[in-house]
Amino acid sequence: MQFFRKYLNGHKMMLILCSVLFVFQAVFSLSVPYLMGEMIDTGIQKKGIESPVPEVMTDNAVNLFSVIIPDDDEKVFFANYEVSDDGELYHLREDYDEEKTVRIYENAMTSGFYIITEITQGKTGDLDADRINYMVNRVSLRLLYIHQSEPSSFTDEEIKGFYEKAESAPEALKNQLAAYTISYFHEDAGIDCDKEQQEYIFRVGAVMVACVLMQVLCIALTGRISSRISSRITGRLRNDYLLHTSEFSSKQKRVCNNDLFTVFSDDINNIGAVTNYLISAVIYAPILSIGGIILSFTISPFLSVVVIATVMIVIAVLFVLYKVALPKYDKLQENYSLLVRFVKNGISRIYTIRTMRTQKLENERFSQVTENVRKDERYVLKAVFTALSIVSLISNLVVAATVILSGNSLLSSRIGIGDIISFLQYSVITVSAFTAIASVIMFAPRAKVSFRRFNEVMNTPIPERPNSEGIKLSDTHGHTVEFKDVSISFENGGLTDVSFIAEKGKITAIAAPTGCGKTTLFGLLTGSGENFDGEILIDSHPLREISINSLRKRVSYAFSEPILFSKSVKENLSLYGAGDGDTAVRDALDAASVDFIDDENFVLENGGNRLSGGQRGRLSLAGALSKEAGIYIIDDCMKSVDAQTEKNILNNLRKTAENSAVIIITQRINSLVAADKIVVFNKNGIEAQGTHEQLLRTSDFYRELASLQGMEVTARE
Amino acid sequence: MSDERSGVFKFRFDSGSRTLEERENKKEVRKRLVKSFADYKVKFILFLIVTVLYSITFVIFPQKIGDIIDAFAASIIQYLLGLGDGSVFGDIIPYAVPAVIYFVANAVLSLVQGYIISDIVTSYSAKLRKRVMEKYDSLSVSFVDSADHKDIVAVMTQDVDALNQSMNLILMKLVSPAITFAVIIITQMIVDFKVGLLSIVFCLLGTGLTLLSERKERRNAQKQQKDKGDLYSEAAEFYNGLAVLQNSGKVEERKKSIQEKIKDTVAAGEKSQNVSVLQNCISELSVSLCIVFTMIVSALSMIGNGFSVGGLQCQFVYIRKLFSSVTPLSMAPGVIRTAILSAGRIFDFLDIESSENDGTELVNKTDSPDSIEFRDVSFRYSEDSRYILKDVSFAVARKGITVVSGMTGAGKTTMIKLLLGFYSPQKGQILFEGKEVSKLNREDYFSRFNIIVQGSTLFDDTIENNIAYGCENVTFAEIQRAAKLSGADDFIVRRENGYKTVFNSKSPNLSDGEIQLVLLARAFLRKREILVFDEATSGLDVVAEKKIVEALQDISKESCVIVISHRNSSLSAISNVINISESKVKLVK
Repeated sequence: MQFFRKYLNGHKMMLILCSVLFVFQAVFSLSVPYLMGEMIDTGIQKKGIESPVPEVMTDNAVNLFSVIIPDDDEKVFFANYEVSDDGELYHLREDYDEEKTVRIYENAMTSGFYIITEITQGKTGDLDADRINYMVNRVSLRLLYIHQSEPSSFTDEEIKGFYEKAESAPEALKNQLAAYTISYFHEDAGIDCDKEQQEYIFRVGAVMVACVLMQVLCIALTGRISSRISSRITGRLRNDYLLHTSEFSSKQKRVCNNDLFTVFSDDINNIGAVTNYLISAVIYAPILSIGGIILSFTISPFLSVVVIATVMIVIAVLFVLYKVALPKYDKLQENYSLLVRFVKNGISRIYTIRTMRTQKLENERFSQVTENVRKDERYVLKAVFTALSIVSLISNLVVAATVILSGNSLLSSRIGIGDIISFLQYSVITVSAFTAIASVIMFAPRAKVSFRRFNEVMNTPIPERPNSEGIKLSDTHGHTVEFKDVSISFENGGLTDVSFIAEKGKITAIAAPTGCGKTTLFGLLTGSGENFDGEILIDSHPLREISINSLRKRVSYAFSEPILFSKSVKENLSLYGAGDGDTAVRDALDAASVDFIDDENFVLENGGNRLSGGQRGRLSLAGALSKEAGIYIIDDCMKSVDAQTEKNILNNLRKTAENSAVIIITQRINSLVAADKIVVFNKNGIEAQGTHEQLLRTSDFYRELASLQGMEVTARE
Repeated sequence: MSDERSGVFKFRFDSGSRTLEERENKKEVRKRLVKSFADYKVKFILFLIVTVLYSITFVIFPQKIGDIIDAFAASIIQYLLGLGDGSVFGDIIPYAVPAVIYFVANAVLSLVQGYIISDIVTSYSAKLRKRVMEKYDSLSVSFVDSADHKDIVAVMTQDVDALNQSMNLILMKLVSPAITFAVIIITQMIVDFKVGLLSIVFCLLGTGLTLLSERKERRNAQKQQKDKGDLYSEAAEFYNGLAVLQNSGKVEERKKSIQEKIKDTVAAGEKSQNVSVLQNCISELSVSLCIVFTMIVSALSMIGNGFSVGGLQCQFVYIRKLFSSVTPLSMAPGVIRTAILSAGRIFDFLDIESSENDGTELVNKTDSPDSIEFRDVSFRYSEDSRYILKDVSFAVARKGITVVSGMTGAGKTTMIKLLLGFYSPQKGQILFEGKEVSKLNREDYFSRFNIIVQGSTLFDDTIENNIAYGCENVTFAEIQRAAKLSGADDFIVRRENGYKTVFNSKSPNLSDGEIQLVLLARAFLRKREILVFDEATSGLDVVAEKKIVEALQDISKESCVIVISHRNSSLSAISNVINISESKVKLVK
């Protein structure tokens, strides 16, 4: 949540704009079904006449009304009409009293309907739907006809009786009769009703088209805004992440326990995609569905409850899917990565597998892994298909239920057929909007993991090291490193009370068993910020107080795992901090005995993965040597170098040591012999220190180390 | 809703730039792809039948609903007239029951359809994976060596996966909607020709526009992919070399360059997303307009003709479905392209003509004190490369340790590859017990070797199983004995789970030395005449090395041990040394 507050804040205006546009989008997209209802009710049923009572009447009609409407109401009714200039037609007054006129008109038509029913009762015992339709459509004409042909069939009392009965007739009946009949009075008055109807349809149709266009315009704008926000947020995330991690040392990498690059690429990518989705789903869907529910509520509160219930069921189904399929989905991912790893391992172990003739065994295992992936995949797919079928079943059910249940509403209220159509469209829109929200769960698992990893990295504190306020080492100093009772500890052990001095002009060799923590110990000199007890002094300044930039200028470190960039040799060395001098690169390459590459512009493809371990080690050493530093730490770079090359490099290092302190971390006897001073480590700390000859006399440990590589010792002498 | 069907798989694989290449023999690949589905003919036909039935029930359902609406209209009027008995439901039931039956049938059919698809797709890809794996097994080692391993892995995982997804999409989003589309259009044409025509026109319009924007999108997508690729490769290098950059003070410089790239991707990302927004608009526009125009046309045709609201509602349902079937069509070119590309690469892989040639001769022990002999062997990897070995001759004794040493790149590992017959020399002979290795039966020949190659690592399995790897029916006691002999037992028992400790190759929980001891234990368990140990002690500390040397000495009492080492190690003192340098071999005894 805090995450969103932080990253969406900068886009507040955009989000507000987007939300406003979403409201418009919802209004426009809900307008279309509303207009459809109108078109059916007014445009088709009422022949496009919007007025609730006839706008114009002939003398015939006036006569009819004066017969079937009792005196009191008759006066009120006619008061709302005025004779036209030519005296032939009666027009509805512009300031007519709508409520009263409509009531009287509806009563009149219903009463007329009863009169006709009375007349035709005998003949219409078994009316079918078509005939009824026909009859209802013709009510008014019949009324007109009756008035002319059978004026005296009914007494005034009887007519009044029909009128009173009509007053208490069902609303729906009165409403329908009124709606159906107006057009006949208009036709009677010589108006081309078909033309009017056509015009109405075109008019409403044009409004609908306009609504669609506006809706699409809104979609275009909101889509652009949300993709803009999400892609900017992605950019900002990357930026912040980059700034936060660029000073990470091995300690932070260990603490956050994530591959920094994977988070940078995949996880931030996922977060961006989810943000984009969330903006449209989480903001738009509720707006749309609330609009849909409000509109359906105006038609029928009862039916809108049905819609809400359906939405709940859909959400429940998707939630069950989430719970059922998600663990399997996680397992699928796991099995899939197992499969990928299996394939990779199979290729890298081809010699083992082929010579041990275990292809069959491997194939069986592979079949097992494949089978697991297949099963999980099928399970997940089927779960999704099942959920989708259930959801579509429910959506269909709601349509059927709406139609069937609306039967009651049609009888008891003023719902028209057009309203049902509108309602069905609203319910489709509402349900699908909620489905969209619910489908966020599809993204949830991936997003959750990505968010977690991102936060883990961002919550790892940046190392606090003295910078501008720290001590700046002066260039003219002696380049001495002194360890004073230094202790470090980590998971599987630690080193205690390490004390020794490495001086300018000397090569100091460190002989230490693997895994004793020497890389961590010497990493301190690169400003790794790991905790340690005791004191490390560089030119008598405590390491903890030296400015990090100054420290880095002073120390050059050749890593035991060579790191090379997919660039030219020259660029590689420049990234290692090669000096500007014309010969800096060439000199460093020579010093590290890089004789296998002539051209400094030779590009190392894929980080030099085609080179052998020894060659990579030498290039990495060349990188470290190319930097003008006072202290060089060479961490086991020569472990994969043959003896002759090693000798050459050691000779060259002698030159480097003239103006600086050189520390070689190694176990190889050649390197040890060449050093001015050897510090021998055991698993817990320093075992002994001195020159090769001294140590041969004083340290059993060293003697064994030497004797294990004894051949070189004798060879040298 | 149907759009979510593929959502589950959307995020799994970003096949990235691999989908953007073009391919020449598309037609052939397509033919072969179709052919490869032959086994699923029955299921596919079943799928088609179910889809047709699904479409038909889908078409009938709205008609039934329309009938209900019309029946309502009629029965209400009847009731109002005082003719009906007011029991509206009595009239509805004959309509409602079939409607319910149809929509239940529709849901069931869509379920069956989904199940068939999941079945076809998952079992197809599983089969394909197995076939690819079998092919891989038959490839010669020399071919695998020369190929880029990343490419092989990509074929076996990424491409199969991409094809799997494409097939799912093709069935779900292209074939099935196409059938539904056809059925609906036919129905519409029958019910109301004008409305049917209108639907076709708008569908064509929508699809045309979408395809047009798809084409435009491809260019933007390519640009975005490229920008993203640039950013990623730069960032990958940055994080990989972070320690170096920090040490050289180049962090700021690199950071700025990455920030520039981030800016580029933001711009490109917006652009490429804008096209999908456009597509969204097009599809929304065409579906809404089609509904509106259908409404208008129907309303106009109802003037003076009476009307059926139910029929109208039915048309609306059809139109919505029509467009939801058409919308995924815009994905068609992309999906098919991905399918063809992936399938093409898989077929290319399956077509590789390379297999290990297996000999027939069996090994017969000779009287000679040497079991292995190289006679004037010259070898180079290809015609235009230099000779790695030139006129090399030496013999290896049946017992004792032989160290092969020499400068990096001198051809030590190549020698082992020749010895195992994975490569053949251009000149000379390599003999085992007097017979040329290329003529030997591999099963028999290899059964005499234990080999620990350079960069060997363990399988992601328990230590116990790793030691027993390739051996059937071994007891735990035997495993333990082997581990004790190799010296691995010491550290294994100190682990919490002992022999049940599971090795994790992703983040190794054993040190390099420990791994080598386990590998040696494996060699001890399977007693063989010859043990080849490549780069045995590199990267080990002296103490670990000592343990291994002792273990090797033990083995060498019974059998021949060949150790390859780039430097003279402690072993040199106690064994024969074959020194390879300058393509010549010196035997130092």
